Amino acid sequence: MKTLMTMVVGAASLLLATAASAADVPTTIAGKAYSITPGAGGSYTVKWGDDSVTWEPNKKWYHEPFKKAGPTYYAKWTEKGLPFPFDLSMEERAKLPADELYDRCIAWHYYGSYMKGGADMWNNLVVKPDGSLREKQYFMEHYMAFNGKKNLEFLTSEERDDVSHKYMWIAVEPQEVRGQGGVTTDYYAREKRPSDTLYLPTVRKVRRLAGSVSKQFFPATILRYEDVSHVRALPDLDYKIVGHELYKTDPKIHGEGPNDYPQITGFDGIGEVAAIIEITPKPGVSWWYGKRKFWCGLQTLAFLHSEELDEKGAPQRYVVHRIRNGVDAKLPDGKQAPDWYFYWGALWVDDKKSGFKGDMWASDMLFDPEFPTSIFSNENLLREPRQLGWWK
Amino acid sequence: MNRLGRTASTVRWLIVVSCIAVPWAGHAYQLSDDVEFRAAYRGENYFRTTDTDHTFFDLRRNQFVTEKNGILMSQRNELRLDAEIQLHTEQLWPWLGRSRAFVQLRPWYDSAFNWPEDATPAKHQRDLSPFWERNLRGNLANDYDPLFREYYLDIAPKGFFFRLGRQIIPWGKSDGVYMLDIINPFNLRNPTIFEEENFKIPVWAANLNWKPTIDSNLQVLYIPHYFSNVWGGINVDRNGRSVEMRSHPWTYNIVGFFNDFYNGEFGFKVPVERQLPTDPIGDAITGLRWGDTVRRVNYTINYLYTWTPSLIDFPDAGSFLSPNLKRVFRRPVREHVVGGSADYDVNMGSEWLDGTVFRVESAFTLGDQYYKGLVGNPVDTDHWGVMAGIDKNILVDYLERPVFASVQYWHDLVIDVGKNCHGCGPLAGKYQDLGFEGGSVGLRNAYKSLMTLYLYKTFLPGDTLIGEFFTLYELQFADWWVRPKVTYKINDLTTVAVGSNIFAGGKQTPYGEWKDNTDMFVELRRTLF
Repeated sequence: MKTLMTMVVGAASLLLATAASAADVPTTIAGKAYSITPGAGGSYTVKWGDDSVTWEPNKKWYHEPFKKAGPTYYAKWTEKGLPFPFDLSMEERAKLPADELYDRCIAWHYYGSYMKGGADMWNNLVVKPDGSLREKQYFMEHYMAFNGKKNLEFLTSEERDDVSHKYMWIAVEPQEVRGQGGVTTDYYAREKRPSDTLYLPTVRKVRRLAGSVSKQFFPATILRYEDVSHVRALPDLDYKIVGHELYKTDPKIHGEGPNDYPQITGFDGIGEVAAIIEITPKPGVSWWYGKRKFWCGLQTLAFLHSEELDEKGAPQRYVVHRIRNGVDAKLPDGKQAPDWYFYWGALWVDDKKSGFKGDMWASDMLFDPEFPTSIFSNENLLREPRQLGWWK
Repeated sequence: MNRLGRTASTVRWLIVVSCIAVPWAGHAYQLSDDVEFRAAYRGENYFRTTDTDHTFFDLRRNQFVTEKNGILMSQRNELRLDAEIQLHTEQLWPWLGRSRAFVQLRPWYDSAFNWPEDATPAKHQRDLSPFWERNLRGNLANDYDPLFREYYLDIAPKGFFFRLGRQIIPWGKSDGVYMLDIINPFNLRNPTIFEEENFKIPVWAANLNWKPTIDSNLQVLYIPHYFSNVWGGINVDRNGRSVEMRSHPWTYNIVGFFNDFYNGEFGFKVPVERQLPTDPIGDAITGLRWGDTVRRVNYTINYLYTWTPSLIDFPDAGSFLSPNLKRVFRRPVREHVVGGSADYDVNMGSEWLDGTVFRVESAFTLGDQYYKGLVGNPVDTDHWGVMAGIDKNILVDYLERPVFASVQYWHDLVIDVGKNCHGCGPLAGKYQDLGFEGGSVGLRNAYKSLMTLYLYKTFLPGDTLIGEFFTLYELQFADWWVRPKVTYKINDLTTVAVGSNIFAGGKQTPYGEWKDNTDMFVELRRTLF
């Protein structure tokens, strides 16, 4: 009987989680009334305080569940009972300190500790100002978070109180860099910078990477380590919430257009209420930007986009995040992953200074990929694996 | 230029032009998810930038001959063919996990041998080509630059990793100085090559790893066959004659000096007889390494029971000065290498120190052989090596892409040497170094040290332009090696590099001896599929 009840409750929870409706939508966000009203042709009108936006299912890359649910889809991540980082009410989320909100919106969005790690292929294109392709790379990615005392069997006893997440990358193509890889270890302590190793196949040795590399370019990309694996609030930077806004996008921006990479399905945050986090280098710190503005959706706790400005306020870079969740990913047993699972998704980077663009997305996503406990050991880099699942 | 030379040259330039201009090819050829083939072309060209000559004792004319050094030193064309197969052994025996087979073929051909009007190496084709022209003929290349370069099977049962086959096994944390990292011998056909995968000679090995905890690793090595270091001038013909003389562009002074001697400089010839270990059990090389991380220090403890990486020349009469000298036995001797390595990156919240990496490596080599005194008889020598290195990114506040800087200090100290020198002659307290040419300035003391500096910086979006600068200075010999290099990734498939090796110092010093080999080099790499 107890088993039957558990099954019934479990099934009900699953239904609730997968079929969020207007009834589940928060009525107040960041102190203002919030509502979503269905309109004609599958559109929705979202109101937040005096502001409003009309959402339309007009982007080819919206996945089907999002096309159907519209902005009510975001409420999925406000359900009670979801684990960290979604374990706070909307009121509590709006009151989070800026650095903690930043962590939840990017570090714990990319590397959620609710799963036992993840693995994917990172497809990375570097596009010249004239639109032609300059470079393309494929990296294997392996990652895991440990907050909430989760997944501790993947850490040494020394690391268990200190390490917040680990990330390992291995280049698969082009051949010039094939086998190159590295491991990032990040820490809970704010004052500690992430540490990195680098394996170079030409010398067959793993080296500690001289840092602090957070502001430096990730090898062969136009992203920085700050965008890839050094994704928690950094000790060199100040974080401040400067306001909230009803999130809208401009289809002219690279990555936001209705036809931009239609095969990379996901969703954006139109109709979310976003916290705007302003990030500036601490006094005396030289950084690659003078100011960064970072939009974080309060329902999805997802990074939506960021703008980087130089010291004079001139635009330096613009990054759009296409949010991607479990609807197109599998669990090891072949079943559909829970749709509230997130992975890093896709990023469209527009480097305003050089004119180059970086288009990148994850594919072959594996949640809970049954890693061995030593998956993040540097010794594994020496094996130069080339295919996801090499650890099996 | 002869006809063959012209044809080879034309074909070569066609390959080069097509590699750069034609944007074909791309992904590896993937027969299935589990079978993959890859191919790449790699070309390297070294051009001497000095107008110099060299003198050697000619084996056939029985006299000293002075000859102009050629401009083209080498022009290696190499094809790399990789095949990789995932074996789903986990489906047969789940405890075994997934396995992998890997084979790499590297046929290569040095087209510098097609330019006979140039002095070297084509002028001495008869003596050099059996060893240095290509690896598609002759068995000897299998010992130092094999066609089937690496081939192994990876087996990974839970908690273990075994690599069985011919492979490269790195040890230590040093760059360019080798104390622990001597499992693979070196092919010093060009001692300025940086990429270790290109000069280390793969060895047949059972490379057995056990991971008792997450970060620790116990490695056990069994290497049944001995391969030695090789360099220009080391090879002999069937009669033991040192036929290479000093014809190879990278013949160390000490090698040329002894080749002159063996070839009859003093009125008599001394044949060389190679004696190599052959017993795969009794003569095997064995090794043990423990690695772990404690308080964020990555460390290893290493032990290797091996042979001297280089073959040692032993005079049959006990001394090179003996009137009874009839022949020289060229063979390795057993030695023990005991040591360890560690690295640590500072991460204490300090703006100045964070991100600094400290590396250290140390080894005691017991039972090695050093050539002692001006006569240079080999003697049992125990020596202690230490490398200390610091890595840091510099100019981080001023450059969008900062400069990676690495400084290393290395010393070698003789700690014990046999008292009986068997008549090592004058200056018996010193040891012959690589630049030795018969004079006292080519000798080193018990203590020897050097420093290296390496700078690396990328430019342009996607890091497509790479600048490197390396310099080495020997503190006692006061000689230099400077190596700037620029690499440009033309596209995902094609990379070109231009660089130079500049040497300075006394002519009998280990690096100053290469002053005449100051060169410019051009490299081209092209992924075919």
